[in-house]
Amino acid sequence: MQFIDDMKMGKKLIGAFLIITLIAVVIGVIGYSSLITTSGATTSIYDDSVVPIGQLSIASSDFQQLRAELYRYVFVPDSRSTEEQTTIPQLKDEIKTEIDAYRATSLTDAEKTNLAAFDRAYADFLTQYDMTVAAAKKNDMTTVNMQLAAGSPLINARTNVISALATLNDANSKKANDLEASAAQSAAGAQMTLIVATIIGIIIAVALALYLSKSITEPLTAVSTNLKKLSKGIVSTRLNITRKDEIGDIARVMDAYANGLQKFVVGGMKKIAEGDLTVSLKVQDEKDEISPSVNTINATLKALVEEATMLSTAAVQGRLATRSNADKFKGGYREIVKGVNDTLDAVVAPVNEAMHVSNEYAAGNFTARVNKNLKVQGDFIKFKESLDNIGEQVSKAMRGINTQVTNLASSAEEANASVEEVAAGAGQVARNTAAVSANADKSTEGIEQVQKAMEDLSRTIQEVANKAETVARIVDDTTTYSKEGMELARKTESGMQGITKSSNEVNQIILEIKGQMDRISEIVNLITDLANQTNLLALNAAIEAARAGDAGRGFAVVATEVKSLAVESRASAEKIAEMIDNLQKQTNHAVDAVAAANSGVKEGSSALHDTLSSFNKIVGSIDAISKNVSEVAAASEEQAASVEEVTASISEVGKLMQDTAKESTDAAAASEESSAAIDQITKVVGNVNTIIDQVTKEVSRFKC
Amino acid sequence: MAKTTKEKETTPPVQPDPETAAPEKENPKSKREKRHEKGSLQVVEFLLGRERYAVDLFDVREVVEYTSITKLPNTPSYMKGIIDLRGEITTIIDLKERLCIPHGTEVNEENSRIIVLDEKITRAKTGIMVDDVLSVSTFDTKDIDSTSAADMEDDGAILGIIKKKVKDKDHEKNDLIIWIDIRHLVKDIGEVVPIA
Repeated sequence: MQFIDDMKMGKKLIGAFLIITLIAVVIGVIGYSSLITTSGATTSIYDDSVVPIGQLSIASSDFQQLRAELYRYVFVPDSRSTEEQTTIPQLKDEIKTEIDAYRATSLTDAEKTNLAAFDRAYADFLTQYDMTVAAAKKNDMTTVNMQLAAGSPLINARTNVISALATLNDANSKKANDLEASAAQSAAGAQMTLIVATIIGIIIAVALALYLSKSITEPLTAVSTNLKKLSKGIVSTRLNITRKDEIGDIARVMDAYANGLQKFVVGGMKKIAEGDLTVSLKVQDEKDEISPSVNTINATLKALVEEATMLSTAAVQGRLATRSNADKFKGGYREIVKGVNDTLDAVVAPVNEAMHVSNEYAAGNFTARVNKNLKVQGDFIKFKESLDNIGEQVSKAMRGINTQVTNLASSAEEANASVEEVAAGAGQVARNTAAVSANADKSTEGIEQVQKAMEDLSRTIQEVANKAETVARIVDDTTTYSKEGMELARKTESGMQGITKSSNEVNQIILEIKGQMDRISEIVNLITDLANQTNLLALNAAIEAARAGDAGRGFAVVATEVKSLAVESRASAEKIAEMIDNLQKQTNHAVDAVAAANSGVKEGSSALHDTLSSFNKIVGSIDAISKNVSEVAAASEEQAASVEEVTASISEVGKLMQDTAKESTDAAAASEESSAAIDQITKVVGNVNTIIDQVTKEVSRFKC
Repeated sequence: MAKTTKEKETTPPVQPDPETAAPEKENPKSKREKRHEKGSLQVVEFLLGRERYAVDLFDVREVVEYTSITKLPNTPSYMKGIIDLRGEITTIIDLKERLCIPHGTEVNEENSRIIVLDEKITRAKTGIMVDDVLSVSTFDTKDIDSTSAADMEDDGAILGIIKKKVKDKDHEKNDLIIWIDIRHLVKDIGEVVPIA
């Protein structure tokens, strides 16, 4: 595809549009040819099938009419003249015309065969037909009837004609159907071709458009990015586009420009910045401004460096009078050179004066001072004062040293005498301390034995204390248990009391029930009594009623009823009495049971009281034990504490003794050391005297 | 308990008696024979020991409860004594003793009843002591068997045996009630009383 990139822009665009137009034309041509094919199929259907079918149907209907006209002719004698002259020949002509027209159309072989069969049958029919007409005209009805009967030559011919017509018609219809099917097929094919062609055309056009736009925009974007980078000072990037169109030209020019800028101008600047002043740029053009400017900067900087090198070399070699020529430079560079000259002037004068004064000091003359007329500034004022100060301070110190040395000499004499006395004392101390040390050692041994004995005692006491603690713990547990036992016994007792109370209540209730039942019994007795009396009264009433005879009859009924009621009441009362009897028996049982329970509870209660008092006694005993054990424990603890105190005291004493022994040893050592030190001091004092003599000699050399 | 069951059984047959008895009582009041002819009999049933007895209703004045009896000296053993019945001295006869029925141990005298007889049949007011009075009943003469009574003519106290139909569970049976002639039994008492 390189050749597309190398094409000029105009050519590229025109070529693309031409391709798209070509695609449109191809699609149009395909569509048009499809249309033509479809249209031809439709026309052939019409010509080859529709028209012949019409002709055949007209012929068929005419034939049927002709058939009917025969009957009319035979059976309607009045119309025979019209029939013979007009209708029948007319129909025959029409049939002939239609069949001929059909014959003129393009016919297949099968059609031709069918048509020949029809011609034969029709000719046969016409012969028979005319024969029948002639017979009818002669009124020969026998022949006519014979011809019209089934199976006659006329009827057979007619049947043949009809079937031939039908065959023709069917063949035509079939042909029409075939044609129609092929036309539909070709139309569908044409549609598919058109759709495919259109889709291919669209794909090609879009691909072309995409490729072209990409081929133009991509390099343009690269150029614009590169320009942006250049504007930011980045000169290292290159486009490296090899295409030969306008964009390729632009890219090449830009790369060349970037090359020049990077290699010469920027490279030169970089060298100058790094101190390489040998750079010299070639002038590209008369109007080139970049290269001459760079060369000028280079020359000026070179001159400055030379001047600075000359001055520094002179200063290093001690030639303080050397100065540089400021007139050789312009503007800011001149200021620099002049500044350096001034600096040298300001430094050189004080340095010369300081050198003079230092020479005086070196010769031992500390009375010398810096020239008061010398004008100085800043740090040089301090420099000058310091120099003067050296002279003053040294003079003062020399005078001080002289006086002190004289004093020192006399002191050294005195020291010598004292040191001798000290040495004698130290010898005495050393002897005494040795004796102390021996005594202290002996004491320490005795104390160690005492300490061991005390430790044994302490262990024994500790064991006693431990045992006592164990006993105390056990006693505590026992106390807890017996207290729990007591608590339980108390709870049981309160439960027992509850039971006693409840059973008393039950007893009370049962007694009440008993009383009530007694009352019920009384009432039942009363009821029985009443029932008996009522019974009696009823009997009497019955007797009276019977005696009264008829008058008492109604009353007798009442009496009988009353009697039966009385009897029932008595029976009920007796039942109640029986029940009450039973209940009373059971109640008595209950009373007995409650009494038994009560006595059981009482026994339990008294047993509990005994238990409680036993527990109380146990608790008392345990308390006593606990108290005793606590006392033992406390006593042993006290003992332990005392023993510890004693042990501690003895340890202290032992330690003190050891300290004493150590200190006495130390003292002995120290006194020996001091003796040695005193000897040393004596020696030193002797040395000091010698040194003082030398110092006195040396100091006298200085003027101060 | 035995008494109550018996009474319960006897109560149903009592009911129809006023209806049947009523038309009979219109004409006769005195003659027992007449009533026999009429075909029905009204009696008062009572208990002596374990047996049932009956007396003619018209020989009975009333029934009263037992009250304390004052014994009379030098009298036959069946003469129980006398009581004060609403101001009238009434002689009490122990019918069991009179009929030689052995005393059951279970019988409590205070629970017994006294049937006071009609004044017409005795000269003095008389009552007979029985264990219990059961009911007033009416019987057909065909239920009364008088043949057995004829054999014991020497004392002549038993008039006949009444067969009382009782329903015992599902099948019927006859209770036998001894119908005694109370007039005959007490006829000699009147002679005693005037002397006293």
